[in-house]
Amino acid sequence: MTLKLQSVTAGYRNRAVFNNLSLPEIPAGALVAVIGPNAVGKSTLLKSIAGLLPISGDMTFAGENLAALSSHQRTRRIGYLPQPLPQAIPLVAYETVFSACRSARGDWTREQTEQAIETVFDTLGIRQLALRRLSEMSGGQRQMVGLAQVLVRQTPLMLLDEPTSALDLHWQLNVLNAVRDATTQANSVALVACHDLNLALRYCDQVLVLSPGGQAELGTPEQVLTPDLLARTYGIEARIERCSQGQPIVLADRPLPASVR
Amino acid sequence: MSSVPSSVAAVDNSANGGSLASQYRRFVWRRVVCLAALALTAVIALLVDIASGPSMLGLGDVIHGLLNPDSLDAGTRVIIEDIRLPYALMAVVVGACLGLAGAEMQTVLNNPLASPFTLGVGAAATLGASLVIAFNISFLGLAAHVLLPLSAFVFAAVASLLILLLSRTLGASVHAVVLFGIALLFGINAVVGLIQFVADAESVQQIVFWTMGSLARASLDKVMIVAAVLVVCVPFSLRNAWAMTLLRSGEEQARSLGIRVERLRLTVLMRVSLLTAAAMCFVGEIGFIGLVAPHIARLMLGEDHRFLLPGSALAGAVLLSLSSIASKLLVPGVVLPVGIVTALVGIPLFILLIIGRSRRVAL
Repeated sequence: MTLKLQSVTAGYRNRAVFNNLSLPEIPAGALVAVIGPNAVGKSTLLKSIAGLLPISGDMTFAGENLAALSSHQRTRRIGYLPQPLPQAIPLVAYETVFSACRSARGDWTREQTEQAIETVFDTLGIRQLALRRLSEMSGGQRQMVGLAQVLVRQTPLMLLDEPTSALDLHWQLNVLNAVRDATTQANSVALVACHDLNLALRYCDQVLVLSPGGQAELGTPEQVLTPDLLARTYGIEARIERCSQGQPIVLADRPLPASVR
Repeated sequence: MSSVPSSVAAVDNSANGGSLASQYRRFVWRRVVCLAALALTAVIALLVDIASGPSMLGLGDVIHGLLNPDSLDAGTRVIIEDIRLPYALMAVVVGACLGLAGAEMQTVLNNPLASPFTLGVGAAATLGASLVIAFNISFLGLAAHVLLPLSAFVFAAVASLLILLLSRTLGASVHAVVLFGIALLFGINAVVGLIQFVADAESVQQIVFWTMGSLARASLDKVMIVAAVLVVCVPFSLRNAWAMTLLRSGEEQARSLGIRVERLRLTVLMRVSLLTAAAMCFVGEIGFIGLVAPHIARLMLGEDHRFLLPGSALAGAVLLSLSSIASKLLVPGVVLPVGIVTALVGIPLFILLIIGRSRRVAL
C-alpha cells in the first residue's frame, strides 16, 4: 500500500496552487508530516488526494488510480480530516461518529460499527464526550470528535489537515500517538499537515516540505529539516539541536530579512 | 491517556456506565419518547381545534363523533365533518409541510435564519399566485384552481434556484445568502405591490387574502392534495437524513464521506419549493412556522435528522393547530386569519423554549 504522486497539478478554478508535483513513493506504514509556510498548498494537496479538488497527473495508492475511484470506493480507502472543526451544533459526539461510520462503512454489521466506535472513543480518550452535544464542547473537543470520525473508519490512507491546531500539549501528543499506532498496526499511510516542526520530528517517519516556489522535498525528518531548508522555506534562522535524550529539536532564532532569503 | 485535561474532556457523569452503544440506545429511546409526545400533542391540538369555534364542543363529543359519525345529530355532524375537520386537518398538514421545508432549508443552506419566507421562496409563491389571480392567466387550458398552485410552485422553485445559484457561483457566505434572500423578498414584494396597484378590486382582495393566510377555504379534497405532497416528500426527506446530518456537522467532511453536496442541495431545495407551494396554494402565506418549528424541534431533539425532520414537521403541525385554535378564540365570534395569529402564538412559545434551554445550559 504505497502512495505515488506523479506530475500532479491542482488548485482552485483558474489558479494552480502547485504544478507538476512529483514525489518519491511513500511506503506503507509511513506517517508523513506535510509542512511548509502558510498558503503554500498543504491543504490543497490533501484535498486533491482526498478527491475534493480536480487534478491532472497521476495519483496512485496501493496500485489504484485515485482519480478513477468511485466516491463509494474512495470513502473506504481515504479518511480525510478537514481543517475546519466540526460545527458547534446540537449533535452528540456518538452520532457524529456513527453517521460518518454509517456513510463510509456500509459493509460493517451494527456490532462491528458499535465496536469500532467504542474503540475509537477509548483510543482517543474521549469516552466522556460521547453523549455531549458539539454545541456544548470546546474547539479542542470538537477537533477530537472530528478525528474520531476519521479514525473510526480504519481507512488505509489518512489525510489529516492540522489535526492538533485546537489542542493543548497533552492532547497533541495523544492524537499523534493514536495516529502513529493506527498507521503502524494497519500498515497504512497517514499524511498530517502541521506547523509544529518538533511534533513532526518526534512522531513522523518522513517529512514532506512544500516551498513557496513550488518545490517539494520528501525524506526523513533529519535529512530534510536543515537550517538551510528552514531559511529557504520559512525565511527564518534556525538550529537543529539535540535535547538531553538525544531527540532532535528545531530552535527558531529569528526571521531573516527579505534580502537574505 | 490516564489524565484528562479540563480543556478537552471534562467528565460528564451522564456518560458513565455500560457500553457507549447501550448508552446511546437509551439516549435514542428518550428522543423517540420526545417525538411521540410531540405527535400526541399534535393529535390533542387537532382535537381541540375541531372542538373550538363559535359553538364550542366537548372534547369527548368530538372524539365520539369522529369515531361514530352516525351517533351525531345532523347539525353537529355538519359542523364537525364539513367545517371544523377540514379546517383543523389543513392546519396540521400545512404546518407539517412548512416545518419540514424550514428544517431542510436551514440544513442545506447551513443557516439557522433560513426558511421559505425569510429567503423569499414564500413571497415568490405569492407572486406566482398573484399573477394568475390578477391577470386571469390561462395556460394549456388549465383551470385557475390548478394553474394557481402550479404557478406558485414554479415561482417558488425559481426563487430556490436563484438562492442556490448565488450560494454556488459566488461562494456566498451564510450572511450573503441571507442578505440575498432578504433582497429577493423585498424585490418580490415590490412586484406584488405593483400587481395589486394595477389589478381590479376583486383581484386585490384575493391577493390580500392570500398574503394574510387563512384556513377558511379548506376542504377535505384540498387537505388530501396537501397531505399527498407531504406523504410523497417525507420518505425522500428521511432518505436524505444521514446525509443532511453529516452536512450540518461539516461540509468538507461530508464531501469526503461521499455526500454529493450540490445534488443534495438541489433536490432539497426542489422539495422545499414543492412543500412550500403545496402548503401555501390553498391557505396563502403563513410565515414564521417554517422558521421557528425547526428551532423548536432542534431544541427538543437535537440535530440528528432522523429525528429533527419528523420533529420539525410535528412542531409545525402543533404550532399551526394552536394558532388555528387561537384564531377562533382570541376575538369571540370572529375567526381571524391564521397567518396573523401564527406569530402571536408562536413567538411567546419560542421565547419560552429558548429561556428554558438557556437555563438548563447555565445549570
